[in-house]
Amino acid sequence: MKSMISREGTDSRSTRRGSVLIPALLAVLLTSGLCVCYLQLSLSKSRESQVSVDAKSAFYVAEAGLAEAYYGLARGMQGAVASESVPARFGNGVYWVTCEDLGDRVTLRSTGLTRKGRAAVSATLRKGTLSVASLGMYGNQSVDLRKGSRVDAYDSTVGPYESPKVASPGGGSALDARVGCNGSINLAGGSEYSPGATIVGDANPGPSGTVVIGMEAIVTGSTAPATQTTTLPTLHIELPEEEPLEPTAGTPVHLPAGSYAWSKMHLGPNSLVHITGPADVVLDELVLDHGSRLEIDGSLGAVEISVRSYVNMVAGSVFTTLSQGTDRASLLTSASLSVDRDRDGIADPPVTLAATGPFYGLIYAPRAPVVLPASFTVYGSVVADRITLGNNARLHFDRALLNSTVGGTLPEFLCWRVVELPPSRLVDFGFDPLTVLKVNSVVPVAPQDAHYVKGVAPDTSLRTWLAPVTEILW
Amino acid sequence: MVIARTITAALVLLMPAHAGAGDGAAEILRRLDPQTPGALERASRALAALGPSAMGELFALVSPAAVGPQDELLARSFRLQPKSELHAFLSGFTSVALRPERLKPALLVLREAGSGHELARCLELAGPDVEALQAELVAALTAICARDPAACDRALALACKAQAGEAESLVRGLAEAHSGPAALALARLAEERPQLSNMALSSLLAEAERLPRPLDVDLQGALRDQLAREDHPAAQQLLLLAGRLEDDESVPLLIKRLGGARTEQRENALWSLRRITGLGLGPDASAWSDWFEDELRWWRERAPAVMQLLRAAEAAGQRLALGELGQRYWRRQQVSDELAEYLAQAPSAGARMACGVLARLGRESAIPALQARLEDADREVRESARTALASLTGKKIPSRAVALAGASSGAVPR
Amino acid sequence: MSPRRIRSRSRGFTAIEMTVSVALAGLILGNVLMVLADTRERMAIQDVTKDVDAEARRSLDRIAVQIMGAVRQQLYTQVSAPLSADSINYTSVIGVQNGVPVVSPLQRIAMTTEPTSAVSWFQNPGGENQKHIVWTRDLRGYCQGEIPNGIDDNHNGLVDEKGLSFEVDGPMVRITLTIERPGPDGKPVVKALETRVTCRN
Repeated sequence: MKSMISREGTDSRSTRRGSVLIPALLAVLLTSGLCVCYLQLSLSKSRESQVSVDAKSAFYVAEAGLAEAYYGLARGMQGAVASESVPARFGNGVYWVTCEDLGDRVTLRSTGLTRKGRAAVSATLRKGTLSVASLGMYGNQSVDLRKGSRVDAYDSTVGPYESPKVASPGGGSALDARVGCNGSINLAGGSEYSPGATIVGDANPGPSGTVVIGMEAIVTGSTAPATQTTTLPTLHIELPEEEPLEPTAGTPVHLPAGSYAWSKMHLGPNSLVHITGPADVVLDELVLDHGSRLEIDGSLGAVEISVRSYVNMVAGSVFTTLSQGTDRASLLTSASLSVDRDRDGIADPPVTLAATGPFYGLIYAPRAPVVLPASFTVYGSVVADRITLGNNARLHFDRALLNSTVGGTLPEFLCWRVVELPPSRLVDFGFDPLTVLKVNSVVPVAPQDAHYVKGVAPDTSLRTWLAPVTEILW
Repeated sequence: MVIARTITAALVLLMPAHAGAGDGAAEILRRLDPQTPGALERASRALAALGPSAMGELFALVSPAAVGPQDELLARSFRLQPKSELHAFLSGFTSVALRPERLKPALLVLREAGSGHELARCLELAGPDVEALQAELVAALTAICARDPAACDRALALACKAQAGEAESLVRGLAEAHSGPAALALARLAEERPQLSNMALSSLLAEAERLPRPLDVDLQGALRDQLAREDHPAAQQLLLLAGRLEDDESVPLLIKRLGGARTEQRENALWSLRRITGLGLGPDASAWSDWFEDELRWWRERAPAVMQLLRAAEAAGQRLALGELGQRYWRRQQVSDELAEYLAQAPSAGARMACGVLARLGRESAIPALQARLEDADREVRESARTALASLTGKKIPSRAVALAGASSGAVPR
Repeated sequence: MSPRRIRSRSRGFTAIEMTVSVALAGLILGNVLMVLADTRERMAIQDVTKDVDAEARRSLDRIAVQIMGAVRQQLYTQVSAPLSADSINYTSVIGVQNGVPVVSPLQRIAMTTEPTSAVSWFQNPGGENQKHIVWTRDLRGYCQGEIPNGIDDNHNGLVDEKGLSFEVDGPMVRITLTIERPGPDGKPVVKALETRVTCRN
């Protein structure tokens, strides 16, 4: 038996040919095949979720493009950023923004691409800015119009000021003045001898304020309260340490274009100071005595006078502008405290504007009450803590200041929407845009370097992109 | 008789102070300690007790500036005098009889003790140039109109005929009286004297928030009638008044103006619509129309059933009712009143929802009902009430009160 | 014995060998099949979960983009917090003509329950030219964690939120979406998502 077994065993070993290898191989192949199928299935599911992630990512990249374009507009650029042929890089994607100029508005269109994601959004903005000058006549706490006073408007881009014919409620026109306040607006009534106060335009008090209209007083536009209060920007004026400027009577002082700073500018009787723009004058105190004259010539450039603590232009002095551009002159003051400066026992108000005008420009005194007498006619804007228009005083708001950049610039969003993708091979390809750029030897630009200044035509050409053949679509 | 009384009063005013009564008044004033509670009241009665004959001396003691607390005390003592003697005395207050420095004291006395009969006297004292004494005049007119409802009608009659300055003072006086009759007088003045309509209604607008609630039905009706006139000279003010007074029934008129041709009126109408409803819809009149039709339909067809469900005992029905009431943006005061009544007896589940809905409706009249639920046994109800109160008052209500209520289930320190 | 006889005797397998090998093969196959079945079941559940997740995200993104483009002043729900709204009405900017935005007719995104809970979009709802598109089905009746009892069960400030819920807070809208589908094992697979968007118009 043993020999039979051993013989059988020996014979078995020599006759068996190892055919189990084939089924083993088949089993391994089968198992591998199954694994590959499951892997494919799993990968396809992941790809699905990756596509939606990419789409969202592209949306945010497009939004980033819009934000960059808005920032450019706010800095005075055109609004267009980069181009389809040389897009801007943002994270692991790229974008470009086109702009369409519509006069006072602009439509921006931003296209964002990341990996497989594509998105395009559009926004229309009003180029007009919320500048202090665009507020018209604005009092932080109150606005009072005395008998016979009048606020109306004109547009200096169309022509010089012309007095409107007759003001009547509901008789507003396109040339509406703007009177606003965070508190209430009071219009004094008139009598048979004198007319009441008049506003040709809108008078919008604060959210809990009202427009109190006296007898014979008129507001031709809306009197609806504002929905929210307006915060006036704070003025920071550094204290100049220089000596005072006190011109000698009879010797005019001509200040050519440049920057100046004095602790005080005190014009005595019969003295004259003439400032030619562009010029910046920083003072701690500005005092004009009776018979003095301060002239501003902004025809060659804007003149800005900043006064830190005290403005006193007494009756009989002259403060006037020789140019009629309302964005060419501004008087800004951070004065706020009433101090007895002349030692007469009576505290002097921080701002006194009893001079003779006319004045074309902006007067900004966010922390002081301002009283405008009949002698000081303002063409432009006045913004102060409290404003009183004296009997028969006049303020003519220049509607061109609505588009002014004086005092701050911020474009205003009008609308936003998702738009169709633009026709572009870069968009249509479906490849990772960074790969396509690399293949085509195009270096994406940094967003901050991709803005177009005004007057330069943006690149709107469409490049013929070469597809990256080495990329395998899994 | 009247002439004799006038002459007597004038003589009393012109004559120097009588030694005895004047000394008595001065002594009372000297011994007065304003810090002591009730001292002013006692002093006033003591001064009045000196008798009608002392009125002249008392008047003489009022300083020319007529501003101090002593001056007010003296003036107030006149109020306690017998009416007939008082009227006789006050009839001597004329600009001819009084020296210029006594005009302010006279207006002060009229402010404290005058009635509707003295309105014309106030105007006469201020004279043709009212500006110099305008503040005192307006204060006197205000106090008289606030004190005496009949004075408002007299003020209206006077204003219909007064000159510009006097009319302005009368209007301001009526506006600052903050009373229903005064407001109604202003509304009627706007109708009867169109030149004053802007002033009357804008003054009313400035004081609208301070008028006592609920508003006079006649006032609302008068304003609504005027609002219906598109060519009203003070249309702007009427549109804003509808919003400030939160007049629900003026909503159809406002929607009509919103769709009208006049831009300035559209803006005012929109402001009022948003104010009344709390809805933030834009200037599209058709959107507001659609919304209002839905509301009208609901009030007509569903409101009775919903109110019944609210009052029924079934919790599910109450929840359904609360859900529907929470969708209302019109007649918010009425809904709030119903819910406040419901909240007083609501079970916990309903109370929680009701607190939330009351907060959304934003009516301050619901505050007492919510305060009552601050002591509720259910912690979630207390929390809901606290949140709603904070929302209505704009103040932080400390939760410590809630915790204490839970611990002691007794009185809650507020 | 001769080598030929030995060779012919070694061509077959014994019964024991067959039995053992069949038993072994059966064991191995059985294990493999069990693993396969288990994996298939898990893959199926995973598939459903991923599908539900993808559908929820897609739907929420779609709703969010619509609300982002809506005009805030013309956007409103029928109720406000603490009651939850399952529909929102809005208009959106569809273009710009001469610098002036062109606004669409009234649109509505709402939870509809006939025949099943679904997210539906309407244009001109209730009007003659009403358009109705179902964006997604399998909407859960109530938000995850909420039961209809008048209480804010999930402590998010809203009472009885449905599967689709909107809360308007100033310019911001909070959108909550809950999708539910039965899994292969019969247990429901739920995905709840929430996002906040700001109206850009």
